[in-house]
Amino acid sequence: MAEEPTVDVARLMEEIKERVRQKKAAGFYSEEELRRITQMELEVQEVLPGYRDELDFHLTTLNDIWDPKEPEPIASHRRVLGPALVALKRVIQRLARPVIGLALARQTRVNSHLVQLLNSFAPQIRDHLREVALRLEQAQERMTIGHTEQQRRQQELFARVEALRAEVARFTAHLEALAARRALGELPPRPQAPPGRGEVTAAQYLAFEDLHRGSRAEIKERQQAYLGEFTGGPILDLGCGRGEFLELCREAGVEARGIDANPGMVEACRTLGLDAEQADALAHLQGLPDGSLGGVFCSHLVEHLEPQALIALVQLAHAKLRPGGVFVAETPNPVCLTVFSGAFYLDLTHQKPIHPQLARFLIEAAGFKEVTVRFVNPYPPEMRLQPLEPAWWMRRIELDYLDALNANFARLNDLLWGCQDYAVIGRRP
Amino acid sequence: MSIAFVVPRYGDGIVGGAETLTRGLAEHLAARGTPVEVLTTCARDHHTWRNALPEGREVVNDVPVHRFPVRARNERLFGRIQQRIDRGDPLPIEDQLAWAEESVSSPSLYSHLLRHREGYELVCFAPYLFGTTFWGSQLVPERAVLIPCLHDEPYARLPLIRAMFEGCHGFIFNSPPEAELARRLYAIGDRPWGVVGLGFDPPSPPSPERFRRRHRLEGPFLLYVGRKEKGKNVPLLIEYFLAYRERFRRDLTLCLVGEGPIQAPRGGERAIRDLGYLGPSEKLDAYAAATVVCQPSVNESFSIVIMEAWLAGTPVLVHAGCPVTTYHLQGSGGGLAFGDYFEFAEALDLLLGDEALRAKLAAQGRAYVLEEYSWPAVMARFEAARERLRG
Repeated sequence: MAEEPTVDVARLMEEIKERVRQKKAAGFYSEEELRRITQMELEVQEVLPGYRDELDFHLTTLNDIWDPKEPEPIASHRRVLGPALVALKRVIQRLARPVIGLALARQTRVNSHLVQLLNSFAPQIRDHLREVALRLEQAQERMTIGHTEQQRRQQELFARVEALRAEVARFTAHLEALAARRALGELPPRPQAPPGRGEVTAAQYLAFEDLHRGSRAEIKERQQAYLGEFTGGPILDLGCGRGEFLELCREAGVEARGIDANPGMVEACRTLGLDAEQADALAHLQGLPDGSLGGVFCSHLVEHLEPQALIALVQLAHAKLRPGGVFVAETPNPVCLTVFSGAFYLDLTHQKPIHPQLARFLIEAAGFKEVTVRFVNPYPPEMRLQPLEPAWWMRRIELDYLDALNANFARLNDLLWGCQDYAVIGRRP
Repeated sequence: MSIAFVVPRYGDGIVGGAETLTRGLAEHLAARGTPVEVLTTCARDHHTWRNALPEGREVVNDVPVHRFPVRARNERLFGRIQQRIDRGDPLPIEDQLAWAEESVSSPSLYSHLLRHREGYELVCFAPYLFGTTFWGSQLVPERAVLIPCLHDEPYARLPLIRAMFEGCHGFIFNSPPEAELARRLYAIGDRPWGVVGLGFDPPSPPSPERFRRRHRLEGPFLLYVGRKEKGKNVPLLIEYFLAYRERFRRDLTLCLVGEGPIQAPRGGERAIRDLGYLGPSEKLDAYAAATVVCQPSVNESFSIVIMEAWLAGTPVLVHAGCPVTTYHLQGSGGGLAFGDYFEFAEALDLLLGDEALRAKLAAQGRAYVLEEYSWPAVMARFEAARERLRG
């Protein structure tokens, strides 16, 4: 069988374009037709109508149909009987009109007044709304500029933290090189530090925590609320730090034990007579028998973990808790942007902030139920943008702007000076 | 080690591009002896996402399917945020997350994924726009393969979606223009990916006469198949068609097949026939009976419709603004494209007036589908992509 010649579609398309050009040039499409087609294309592309179009549409329709006495047009689709039916209906309509008119007289007056009322007010309201929308857009633009500035500062901070990281990496490399040379005997032996010097003492750690985390009394007051979440011991406090939560448990008569990687912290806890041990949180959890814990508490620990370690921690906590056991994790709140210009980047060991919805999702995925997210430690009210008060001389429109501005302040306040931390709480079913 | 497909709906009677694609791939992999599993929800309806099918494990055409219940949704909140995305409003990340959470989501599916992740060689998520894909891919980033079925729309530009793409291990795209779009929108240049697409078997011979008789159709007709919505450019097709019919061909009819909110305009009822949803065999008859199949959408990642039209022996008319349909057109020579009303009218005129041309274009289209999108060709591309994704 002979091969059919193929059709060159690209050439056909060029011919089509050429034909369109020729037809347009020869006046095949009239001016009116061209205008109608352009209009049609625009209408098809138009976005959905907004409230202004809705208002105009309903007002025009109401002005058309306000009079209930106005007869409806009569028509029939039947070919043969149609004209006769239409004539009959018209006669009935004409005969009934005076009676219907009488019955509807009051309704007609009500409709007439209502439509007149709408005609005098609705366009004004529409224009007023348009103005408010415009002002809001301007306010939003100003807010966006503020936000950009905030982002710029944040970028600067990021850059400085990165520079610090690089510096630390450089020092580490240098130290490692020195250690290698010492191991090979290329350097004189390390001079002995006088007794009591050259080691970071528990007291120094405590001073650091007091400076950046808050005093012992403050932390205890904040953590008091979590105690009520647990239904019984033993509670394991991962990353127990100075042992504020362990102390709260002891005061409430609940059995609790703390784990911290930092020997200084463990020592500080033991000095207070609290049960604490130096260990890696994941390794320690892994070594416990399944279903042996009544609660797992970790305050400001999860943001120090790599993603895979975080997922493993949540799964392990689920396995080690007995049914009804509770998991509580408190961490900085990334939904509040000021956290990033303050506390979060003071600690180089922070890996990444964890979004509350991601935390909720991880906990649920591990099998926890009754999961809640609680936002805690709000910034003091004096740090927030203060709302503007209305004054006696303000007109309605100015009061509207004031409301819009205050609403914007509220949004900015929530974004910038909301809660510094949040806790995610879940129960093993 | 098996390959898992995570898809929000799966099973008999569930229509949809991503659903058809996933099912085709899973069944053909299973037939070749590759261990494969489908993780899906108990939902059937993609509007309500209500749990309708029983929870647990069943085997559908030799493919093990695990169904997990859908978490209760706040539909009002979801609808409100969806409207804002459609309008292109900038959205805070909380609202984007809430939108992902209130879309279809299943915590027990995630628990399963987390517990069994080591047993999966790859976990393929499809399509990109659902909670199961967003949340699921967060849990297994090291083996998450996205089959996004992506086209350019406001959702594709959400920072949340960007983060999801950039967190995945690799991608399987339906067409090269879809891959280009993804690589333009997201920083995924270093990730493994492949273009696979959907496979087709040659259909049984259709019966165009039966279709014309049943719907009392005489004379030439233009056919549209798909969801009747603005996003698919259906209003544009209706306007173009009515303008063309009024000026040139009073005997031409437009048939709309599929569901959706768009209604034929008043006064156009005689020219436009809205046939609603049709079953597979009647749809095949419709393709064969049509004079020309028009695909006006510019938002496609593959376009099953034009492939089905070609297999049934009918040429297509596509929108020149769609990179995917024009890509297939260039590869096949199976129809014509229009950029505006005037080109639409000219192209339609040419096709309606030349039966031999229509037959040649359709034959070229059919040869293209049988060559590029037969199941053996598609599975060969899948295996090549799998090699790259395993790295």
